Amino acid sequence: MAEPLLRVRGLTKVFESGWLPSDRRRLAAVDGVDLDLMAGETLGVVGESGSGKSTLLRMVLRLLRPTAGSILFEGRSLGELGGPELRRTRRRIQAVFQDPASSFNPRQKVGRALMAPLEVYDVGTPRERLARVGETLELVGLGASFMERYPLQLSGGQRQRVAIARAIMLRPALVVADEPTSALDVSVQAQILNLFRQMKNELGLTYLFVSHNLGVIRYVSDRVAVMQLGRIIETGPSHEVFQRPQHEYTQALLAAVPDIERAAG
Amino acid sequence: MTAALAAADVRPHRLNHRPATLSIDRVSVEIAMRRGKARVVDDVTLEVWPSEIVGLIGESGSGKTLTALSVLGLLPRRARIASGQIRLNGDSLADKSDADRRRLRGDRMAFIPQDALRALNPVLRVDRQVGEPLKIHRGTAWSRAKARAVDLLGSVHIASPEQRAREYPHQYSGGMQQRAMIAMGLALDPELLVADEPTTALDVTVQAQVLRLLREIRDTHGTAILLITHDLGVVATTCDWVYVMYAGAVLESGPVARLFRSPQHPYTQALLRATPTVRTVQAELVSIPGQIPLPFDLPQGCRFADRCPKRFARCAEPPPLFEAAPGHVSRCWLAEAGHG
Repeated sequence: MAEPLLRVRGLTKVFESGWLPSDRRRLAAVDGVDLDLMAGETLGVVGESGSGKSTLLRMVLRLLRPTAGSILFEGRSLGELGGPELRRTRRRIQAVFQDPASSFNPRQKVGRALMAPLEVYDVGTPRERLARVGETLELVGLGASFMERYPLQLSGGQRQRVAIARAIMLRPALVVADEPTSALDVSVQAQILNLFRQMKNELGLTYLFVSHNLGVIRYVSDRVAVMQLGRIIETGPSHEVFQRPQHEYTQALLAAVPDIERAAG
Repeated sequence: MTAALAAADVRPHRLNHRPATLSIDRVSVEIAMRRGKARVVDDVTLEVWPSEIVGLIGESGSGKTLTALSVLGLLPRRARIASGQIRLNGDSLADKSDADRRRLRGDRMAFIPQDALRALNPVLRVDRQVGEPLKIHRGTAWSRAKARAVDLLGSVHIASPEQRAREYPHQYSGGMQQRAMIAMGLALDPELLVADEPTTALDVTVQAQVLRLLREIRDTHGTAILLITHDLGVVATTCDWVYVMYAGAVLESGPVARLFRSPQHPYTQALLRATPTVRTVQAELVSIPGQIPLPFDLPQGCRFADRCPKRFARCAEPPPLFEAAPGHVSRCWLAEAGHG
């Protein structure tokens, strides 16, 4: 079997709260998580608030340092990387977050925001960079004219398209998405979910996709991991997990979803 | 009133009750903007009857929240009701002074907001807050109001209510906070509950419990409930009747089971096809291109026309509501007799 793009083993993050030693409390937000993500696959991580899904994702992005465990990306341990090697790896992992309004500098035009990753990694000549920004904006369905706009002049859906454009500027291997459609209306959410699918097909991306919305997870994922209290309690091919959930908690989650198909029946 | 709307009154389970608990009759709301007045709610007619949960569904900018706020008399300062009538069991709310409205709120109608934690006072114990409507509206002594609060907390299924009543809101989970808000809303046994996205901030398992509670209140108290939501699934599982709003207008309304089985308006159809579900594999979500038009930028004819896959020449004229089946109406030329 091929080597997974991302391999997580025994990943644990413990947060300590309380200032005095006497009332210090330890909470394992992520508690011994194992997962493998093959290249070209979409792994959906689903769970309720406090399940640890966002903490897991932040560790994969190296925004949080794990308390224990390892994350291997393309066979190299993320925690041990430094200097130029870390830079090379970071370039291959990009992120899309829930709220595109707060992940852009409001005083920077879209063109500049998209140019930044190319400059940081010194890709191409200025002219080539400009062409790449235009192309990528076309790719996400916006068109080069959007370079001149400010983030706040865009609708929520358009901003999320720009966020996706920024994530794919450097043609990464892995895109990590944290609730990327939770702030959007249903009609726009569908546009963005379809764009994620289309980008995956055209650029051969791999997704680690986190959401609390089970319908969204079912739609985008090849495989699903269900998290509860910091642990993955069930994982498997998406259709298996949704059609024949094994764990009691997964069954309860699915039963609780108010689904449109129940009304007509 | 159009023939279609008159026919909408033929609702068997509603015939025993006259008048409607809430009647919004051709209400328009305008907001003063720098660019002039924007009509954010346009000619909306809506009714809620006893023992009924009516869903008001729409995406952001549809006007659903402003419609609800106009019922409660809580519109933002720059907004005002430009025309139309709102009646609570036949009493017109428009003629009421602010003081009279304040007496109505809490007593005859109660509001349940989206964010319960922000609505609760962090420094007061829960029993003090849940009992407060009794003290303010009925002059009940605090000791009795607080005792009643314990009963109310029990009735919304908060375990060990005597103990919990003495706690502060931050000691409650999100679902319990929302239950406490509902308990407060029920304190004076109002005729109408208006709930604005009451479960949007909650986890799905907790949401299911709160929605079940709303159905229980409908059945045991006979309360009329107006439920504002953006979630088609919430409507499908909880409501009896639904109004679909888009860009300030009602585009379709009818009994929930019928409307989901046989949606008439292309917007409703598109929304249903754009919603990912957990029960079936969808090859492709059909997204709706473009976005909701802004209130000062509305198309001349049908508001949905420029995003509609079925538009034709007639759509340049604003369509009225056509009746597709008893009580089920659609604001689309395709629903005109003959198009089926």
